Amino acid sequence: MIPRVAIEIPGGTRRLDRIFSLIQDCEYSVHDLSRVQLDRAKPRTPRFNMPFELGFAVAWQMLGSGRHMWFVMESQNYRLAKSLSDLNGTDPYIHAGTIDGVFREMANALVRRGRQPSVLQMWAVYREVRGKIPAILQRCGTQTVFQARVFEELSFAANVAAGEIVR
Amino acid sequence: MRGPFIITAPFATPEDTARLYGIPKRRAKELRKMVEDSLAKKGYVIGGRKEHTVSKNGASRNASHSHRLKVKVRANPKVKSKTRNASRRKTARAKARTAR
Repeated sequence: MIPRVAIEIPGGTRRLDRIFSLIQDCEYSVHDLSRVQLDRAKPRTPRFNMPFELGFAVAWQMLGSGRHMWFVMESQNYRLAKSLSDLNGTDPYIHAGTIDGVFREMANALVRRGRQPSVLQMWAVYREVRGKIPAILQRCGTQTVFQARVFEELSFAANVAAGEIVR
Repeated sequence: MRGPFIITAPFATPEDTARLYGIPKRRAKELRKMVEDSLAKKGYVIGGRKEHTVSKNGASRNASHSHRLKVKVRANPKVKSKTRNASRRKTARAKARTAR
């Protein structure tokens, strides 16, 4: 599995088209709704991007390929039932807003026979990649990880680290 | 809770990842070396079996081997005598004198 993100697609196309194209290309999608909250800037508004993208994935699974699999993550129990009751009957994976929780829930959601990484191994890969962020940022001449090139290099580094750590 | 979803797709290799993202080969090599060097420092054997540095008191297996090797060399009297300078060896005459 190779992670994809909307920023990696060239900017000529509309963001919406890019996101839908990525969902169509991917077999799995993970939608974290824990950040659907009011921002600080006035007028304070909630961020609806994630639920909107989840809607795309659900539609693609139901009407499109049928082979697409989507997962919903939340930080709190029962919050999804309140914020998005249309998804009642779908249990989200609750990560409690922690890195450990994200690893645990990802391991619960996606299971592989044989070479299945443990949470400890995920931590090892995470630490390894985190340690490489300053060097990669410096080389890319930026200060944010939310850029296509930085994301790709971090993802590549994670792939190399996982290949060595998870055997 | 939803049941787990079993993934059947094979693990993506770094080459696959680099190809998909369009990372140049040279840069991919640099990144790979950077990660592998860092992991090697942490005790992982790169390209082979994984080896955690979880031996007693944080000493890795390699470290204990080298230690054992040192002890062996020191304890071997033959090796020690061989390394001795010829000018400092006791002559047969001197040996006979001390024996008296």
